[in-house]
Amino acid sequence: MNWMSITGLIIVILCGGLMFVFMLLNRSRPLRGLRVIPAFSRLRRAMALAVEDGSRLHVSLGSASLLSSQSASALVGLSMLDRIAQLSSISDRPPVVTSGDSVLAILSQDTLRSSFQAANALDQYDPTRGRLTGFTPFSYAVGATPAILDESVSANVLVGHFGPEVALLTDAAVEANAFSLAASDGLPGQAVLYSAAQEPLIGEELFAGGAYLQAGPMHAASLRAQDVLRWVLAASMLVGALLKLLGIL
Amino acid sequence: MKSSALSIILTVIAIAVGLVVLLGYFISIPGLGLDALRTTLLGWAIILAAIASWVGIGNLLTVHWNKINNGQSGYGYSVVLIFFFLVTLVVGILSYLSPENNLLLPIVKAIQFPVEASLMAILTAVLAFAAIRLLRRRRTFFAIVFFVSALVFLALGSGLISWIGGVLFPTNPDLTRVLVGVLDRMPMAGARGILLGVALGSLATGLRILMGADRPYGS
Repeated sequence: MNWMSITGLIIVILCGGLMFVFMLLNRSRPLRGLRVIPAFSRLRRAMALAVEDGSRLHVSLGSASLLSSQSASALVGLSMLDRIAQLSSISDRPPVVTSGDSVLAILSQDTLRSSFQAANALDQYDPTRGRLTGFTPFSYAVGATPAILDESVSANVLVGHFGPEVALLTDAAVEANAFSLAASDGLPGQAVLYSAAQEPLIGEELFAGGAYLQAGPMHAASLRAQDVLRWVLAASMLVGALLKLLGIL
Repeated sequence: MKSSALSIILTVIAIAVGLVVLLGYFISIPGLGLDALRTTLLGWAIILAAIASWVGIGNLLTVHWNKINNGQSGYGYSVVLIFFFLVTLVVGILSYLSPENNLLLPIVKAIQFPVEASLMAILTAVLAFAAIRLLRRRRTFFAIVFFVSALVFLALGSGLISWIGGVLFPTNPDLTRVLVGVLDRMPMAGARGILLGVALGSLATGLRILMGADRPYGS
């Protein structure tokens, strides 16, 4: 084991420990003290409106492979999908999910199934509501646009790994006059979404989705752990820079 | 009852495999075999992902077949998709499934590349409209900063700022160099800040799955 591995392992253990402690401390009110992200309040309103007017929600999970380093964003998308499917299970039109990776498509079907089962609405489950729309980023984006334009979609949640091609999806959302909340873990995707999406999430806000949709106390606890670790890392970098400036490092 | 027992077994397997892969990444002690076990498990994951591709193709074809059967709007595109899928599949099999075969390569070079390049061209127009819409929809301080910095870095990338600096300060080229250097580093600093947040978020997401708090494999 070299010092890099040891440092990495310490950060992982520290993060896990902090998450566990914060979950125990804030079990009764998990969101207490967390800043308000207006995009999530607007998403909740858009979901309520979709249920009320009988329109559909569209969740897009991006084109990251679960075997790649971008898989975390897709996993966040899946937890948000789980919560969204539960919250909209009373709707006449169940949500439609698109993705650019086969494993993600299968997991989205599984998540939809579990959510409908939990809501005692398994009869509403249709496996073709979780779709693979293309294998390359562009074919995925182009394949997902008919879901936005032709299936009475009133709100879009685009959470996962996206490149600039995501602009085709947000443009379709504008054309359909539909709400869009979007987040990507990639920098080009984030830059495009800032200008193209109605409600863009920047940086780590992507990982706050589960907490703000109340997917469980561990989601809020992980946000607090991230905040603590961010301060620790920022302080370490500043100290490192200072020591380098002084010629000690 | 049966499904809940299955769910517990699946969760235990997922957590155990996740822990082995994570520890195998950090701990490399000869004789422990953790690294070899990690490699084997990742190999299995790659095989499963390859099989999942076939399931995904089945899903893609089912969705489009249903669209044709139900006569939904835009079903003509579904006909084209299924037709060309079958053509590519046959050509792929005839070319012994090698992507560099002379039979399959023209399909990729003459159809897929130009189509994706055209989409990229459409994207530039879409992005230009999105930037205009941004200023109409969100006239906030940060939206204006975003728009102005996009213009500044467009000018920087095209070499316009260096040229203007050369014209304005012909006797002091260091001034332009410092200005360009500072501007060059700004997006890098911002990107690192954002990526740090993304990295911490990814770590927390992974740990939630390892703790069984998130179960993307169904519950």
